[in-house]
This record gives sequence, C-alpha cells and structure tokens, in this order.
Amino acid sequence: MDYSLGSDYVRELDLDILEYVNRGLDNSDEDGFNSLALREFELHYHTVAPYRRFCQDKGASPGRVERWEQIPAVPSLAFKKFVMTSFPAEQAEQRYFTSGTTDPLNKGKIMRDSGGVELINAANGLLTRHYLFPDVDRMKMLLMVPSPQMAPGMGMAVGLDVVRRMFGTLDSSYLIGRTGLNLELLLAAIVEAEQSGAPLVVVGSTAGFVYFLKACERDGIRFRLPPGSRLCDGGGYLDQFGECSREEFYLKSREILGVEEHHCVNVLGMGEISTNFFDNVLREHQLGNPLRRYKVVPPWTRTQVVDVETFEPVEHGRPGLLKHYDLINRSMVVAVQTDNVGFAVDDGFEIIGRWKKNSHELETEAITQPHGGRIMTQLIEFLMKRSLKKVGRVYEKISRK
Amino acid sequence: MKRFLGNKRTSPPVAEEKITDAMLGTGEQMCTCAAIVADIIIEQGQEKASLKELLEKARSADTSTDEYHGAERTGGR
Repeated sequence: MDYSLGSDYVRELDLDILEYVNRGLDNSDEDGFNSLALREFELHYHTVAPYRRFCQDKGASPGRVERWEQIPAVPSLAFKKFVMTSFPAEQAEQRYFTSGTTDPLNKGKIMRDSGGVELINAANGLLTRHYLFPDVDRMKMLLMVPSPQMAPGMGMAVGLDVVRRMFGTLDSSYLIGRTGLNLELLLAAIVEAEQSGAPLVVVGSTAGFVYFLKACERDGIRFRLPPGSRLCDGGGYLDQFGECSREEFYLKSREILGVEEHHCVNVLGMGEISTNFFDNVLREHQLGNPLRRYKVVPPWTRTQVVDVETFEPVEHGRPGLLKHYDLINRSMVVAVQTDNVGFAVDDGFEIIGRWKKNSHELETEAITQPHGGRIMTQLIEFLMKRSLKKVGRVYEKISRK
Repeated sequence: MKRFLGNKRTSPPVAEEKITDAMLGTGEQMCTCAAIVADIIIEQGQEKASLKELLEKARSADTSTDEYHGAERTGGR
C-alpha cells in the first residue's frame, strides 16, 4: 500500500475527514468517526516509525485494532524526543517549534503538510466561528502575540493569523512587536472602542491578561468596553489563572474592562493536538442558556479521562489524565496522552492542572504560574511587569489626546 | 542555568530510544503561550540585553518581590 502524501489513500482520507468536519458541530456519526480514526491509525502505523515500534510493544496493529479507543496514545513528551510526522519532513508546509521552556535545545517539533494545514484551518475556523464569534462576521482584534512574520515558528502566531484573516477587521493589530508589548497601542484601541461603541476582542495568553488587569488595578484604571466585546485567553486552568484564581480573573475582567464572564472564552490549545478546545460560555449565552463553563469536544475529536496507572477511562466525573483522539492530527498521530488532569462533564471536559508525577497517585501541581521552568517564569513575569509598570502614564498620555 | 542559557552540548541521542508510557508528568508542556511569547521576545533580542543580564534582573525581582512591588508603586525603580 502506498501511504505517501500524493497517494490515493491520503488524498481520500483528507477529503473524508474534511467532509466529516464540514458536517458541523451537531454531527454524531460515531461509526464515521471510528472508521476515520482507524484509517488514520493505519496511516500512522505505517509512516511514523517510532509510533509503529510503540504500537508493536503494545501488540496493536491495523487489523487487530477495531475501535478508536484501542488506538495507542502517544505521551506528550514523545513529541519532544521524536519527529512524529506521517510524511517526509521536507514536505512540511508548516514547521513549529513549541516552547523549550525547560530545555531550549529540546524544543518540540510540529510539522504539517498542506493537507494537514487545510484540515486544521477548517476545523479551528469552524470552532472559532461557533464559540468565539457566533454573533458577528468580523470584529476588531487586538492580538497579544507576535505576528507570524516575526515568529514564523510559533504555532500560536500562525494560527491566530488565520483567525485574524477569517474574523478580524482591517484595523486589527498585533501587540507584541520588536520592542515587546505595545502598551500604547493596546490602551489607545481600548479607549477608541469606548468612544466609538464598536466592540473588540482581545486575544492572548491568560498570564498576559492577568498582568495587564493587575497593572490597571494597581494604577486605578478602569475601562468600559462596548457591549459585545470579548476576551479570548489561552493557558489558564480551572483553579489558577496565572497569579489569580479563575473567579478573580472574571471579576477583574468585568471590573476593569467591563467584559462579563460569559464573554470570556478560554481556549485549550496544545502543539501536539491540532484541534483547539473552546469554552462553551459565549455560545450558550447567545442561546439564552445559563452559565455552565466547560470545554467543548467537537465531533471530530474524543476526549477520555483516564487513570494515571492503567490509562483506562475512570468513572464519569472523576478526575484523571486527559487523553485526546483528534482526526485533525492526520499529519502526526491520532491519539495523544497528555499529563493534563481534568474531569468529564456531560458534553465536554474541564482541566484542573498538571499531573504531579513524583506521586503515583493523582495529585496535581498547584498551577500558580504558567507552564515552563522556574527561570523562564521569572523572566516572563519580569518582562511583562516591566512593560506594564508604565500603564498609568501611558493611559494619561492617551487620555489627554 | 546551563540548560536555559543553551550552553553548547551535543544533541541528545534518541535513535535507540523508544516511546514509552512513562513519557508523561515531566511538567514539560508542548505549548505554553506565555512562555512562548517570552521565548520570542528573548530570541528576537528585543530587550537589547544579554540573557545573563535579563536573568539577573528577573532573579533580583523575584527574590525581592516586596521591594519590587513597592518600587513599582512609587515609581522609584
């Protein structure tokens, strides 16, 4: 069998995955998901050598695996130690290097071919429309990330540029430039929105929001963003959002920016998993439903909560490690075992923190800081706090204009 | 420190290594938004300072947190 990128096998698989995605978010075709997952498993088994060895050790192979739940899941760290692609690296259209916060020489490598890029754009585009912009075609975006020109190897920068092109207005801006955070641009855009009444969306890391909100609080600065404005943050957790709790985060978002909790959408994005997991809150608010926050599992993914020892599913609602099956991972491997701890809810899951491995029991580390080594965390805090020290002065300057 | 500053060393030999279920729980996530942004800032040399300088400043800020925040409030730093 020919499993190369140009083969009928891969081309037909991509078309079928795309068709499955385009059936929308109410698609409940379990057999269709299972069939596609098995076809991907066959592809990955034959094309990703380290994964094939891993599967052989477990006695799993195409033909013997009949259900998606039986597909061996690659542990997260393997993506840093091995190149996990289903095609020759020279055919990659996108190459990302994920954070090397603990070891800069050992950054993760994520590669996608053109078909994989088309899949991820279709899937995450649909999710962004549904869960971040269900009510508007386009909106002004303030992106607290570098542009892809500045950071071509940063998946988040490239992914958010796709979002900007699909949903942003022409006056959308990147806020991380060559001199760091462009605080003046951020504050000026917020003040302009207050005056014009045109809503905007601010997108960035949870920690970045926390530093900004705290700096505004310290300097007594308050904004009232127009109704419909929203925040989209990545990297926060259920219990701890950087330096403050989730409750504090939403309280400050309302008090300092005038954005209500149901317009604060947290997104779980990981390098080794193509699909982004969005909070449901804004969508549910639009539908008139009460606030009950969780991460949505779209039809082309499955998420299991598994036991830390056996990796088998735990009882519904109990905490465990999150294991994801993602059809959009055709460029890599379909099943990934993370060390994120979470629990299942009826229509999705929530994340609690990270597994504390030195205990064999399921204890989580208190997430009081972003992922990454302590030194890097110190640096992040230093850089962000230094930029935001002048928030009061910049605000005065803008207000005088 | 050596690992952060990226002192030269040979790439880890991985040819014989196999994927195992134990490759979890290291605290090393694949995507860390804030950390990646910091990586970019540093790698781009935006701060116009050496890594060593930045590190010293960061450490100094971290070990004297109260003083740091007090200085922030008074604008004395």
